[in-house]
Amino acid sequence: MLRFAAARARQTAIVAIIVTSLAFFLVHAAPGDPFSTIDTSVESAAARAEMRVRYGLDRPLYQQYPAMLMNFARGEFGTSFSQSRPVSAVLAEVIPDTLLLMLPALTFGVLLGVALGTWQGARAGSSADRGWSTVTLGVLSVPEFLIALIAATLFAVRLGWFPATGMLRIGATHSSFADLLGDYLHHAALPVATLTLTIACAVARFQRTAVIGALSEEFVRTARAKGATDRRIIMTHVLRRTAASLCAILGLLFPALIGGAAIVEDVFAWPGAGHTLVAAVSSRDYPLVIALVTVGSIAVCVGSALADAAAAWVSPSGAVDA
Amino acid sequence: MTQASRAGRRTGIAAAVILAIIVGIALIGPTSFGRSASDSGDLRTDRLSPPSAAHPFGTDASSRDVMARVVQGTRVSLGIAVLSVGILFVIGVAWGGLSGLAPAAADRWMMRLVDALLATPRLLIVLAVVAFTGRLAAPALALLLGLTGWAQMSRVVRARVREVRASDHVVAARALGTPALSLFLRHILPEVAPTAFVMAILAAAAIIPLEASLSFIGAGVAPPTASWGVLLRDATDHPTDAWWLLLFPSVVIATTVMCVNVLGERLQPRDRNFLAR
Repeated sequence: MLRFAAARARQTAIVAIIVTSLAFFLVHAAPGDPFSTIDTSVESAAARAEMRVRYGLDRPLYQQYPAMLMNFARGEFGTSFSQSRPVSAVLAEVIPDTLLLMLPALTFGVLLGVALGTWQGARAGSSADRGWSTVTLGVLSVPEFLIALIAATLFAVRLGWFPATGMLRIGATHSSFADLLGDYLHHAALPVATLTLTIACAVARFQRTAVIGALSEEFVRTARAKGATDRRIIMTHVLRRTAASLCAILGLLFPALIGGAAIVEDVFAWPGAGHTLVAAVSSRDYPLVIALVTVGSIAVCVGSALADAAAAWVSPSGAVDA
Repeated sequence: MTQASRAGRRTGIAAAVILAIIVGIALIGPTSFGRSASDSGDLRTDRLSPPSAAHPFGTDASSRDVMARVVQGTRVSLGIAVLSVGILFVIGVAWGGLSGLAPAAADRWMMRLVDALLATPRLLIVLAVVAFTGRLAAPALALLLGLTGWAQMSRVVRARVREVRASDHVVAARALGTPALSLFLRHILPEVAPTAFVMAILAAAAIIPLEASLSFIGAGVAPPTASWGVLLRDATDHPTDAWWLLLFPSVVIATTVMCVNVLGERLQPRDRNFLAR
């Protein structure tokens, strides 16, 4: 197990380095830089050249890139253009808020998705199964931001049941922890529900396929021959069998999930990393964008590695493929 | 044929027909209906007017015909999707084919790059590029989406190439001394092609929402080009007073992606689930 962890950590580091280099070189392969489009009537050519020097953009790429990696490794992300403070301070502020959105959504989404997918897989081919398959495919065909937009328009703007934006009431002082929690839950309801819905539908589709596959295996026939009830076969034998592939699938879902979550945050003006990223992109706050993208990519790599480790851990055969 | 699979086939055909209609309308373009996506009507009387006989989808805040804008947006969004799928198809098949035929050590490293790309949040990478260079023109955006999207394709193609490579007719052709290139093009590729086409359809189903999301947050195609995402972005300015701005683009985008998804699912061979491996 320890050897597996070490191998997986090394692999994750390699993947993380490839991902960040990819981001870096794609960014620099494109023409222009953050200072080439600043209003030329306000900023003189000399001022722009000075900015390039300050941010090291005048140096060749093979020097910039290692310099950037070294700085990132030391936790120095530079200064945000738009917020005029260290990028690390911004990160420390927004990442916890993103976790407050992602963790509940991931938990509910996986639980609901597994429940629905298992239920469908156990009665595959029935009209109920086909109906739910259409529903899940339909939900996955709508981009997350659109679900968020429709939810915000319907439940926040029209019906006024939930606030449309933010994480807490602006300027409010909370008298007690219960008050604070209630305020958070009221604000989190719509964004968490949006993300939960898409995660649940994606998970349900994979889980359904996995359950159908597991049900056709020998061990199910054995269990049935021993007189196990349908319920017991599903709850103990099949679910244990599908747990490994579920973890693997979650690892594959992370990259798309983090992008979608960023946009859902933006629609609801949730004060997390995604909303900050979108704002930083439109104000062309290059240091903040690069830092957020790097952190996001590393989070995905670590998430995938954890998902793989979990898959290996729950795998009934114990087979570990580092 | 069971009842379920017959129903599935009907769904597949329906999806193909609807998709063909949407693509057909997009190809013909809004001008053929005597409409323009950019002309404003009378700013005093036509501004934000609800759907009517003259404007079946209503008009927007600049008195433009929403139906014409949706058709125009379909052209842009589908154009970007087709172009980027074309790019990722070529790269994915080439890389996957090469990796499938390569010796084990090279194969392992080639797939490691694919793993890295699969772990890449594409939306974040595109945002990084846009933050650095400013908004991209539609072909540049398509290129970027294609360059970051070929990993899944190459992984599935590689797996299929490995299977086909071991089959009798390929082994026989190899024994007869067929050169590597023609072995790949004439004996392996034809068997890999159906799989690659299904992957291309699934890739399109992922790229359309991705491009819409980018345009929605203002990081997609540069103005004045308007894709679906731009239309939805415009709709957010009028959350209460103009439901048609949100409804019609939403319906078109959801219908299109749903049809692409259904088509990809129906064409997928029954015995494999590409994404679940």
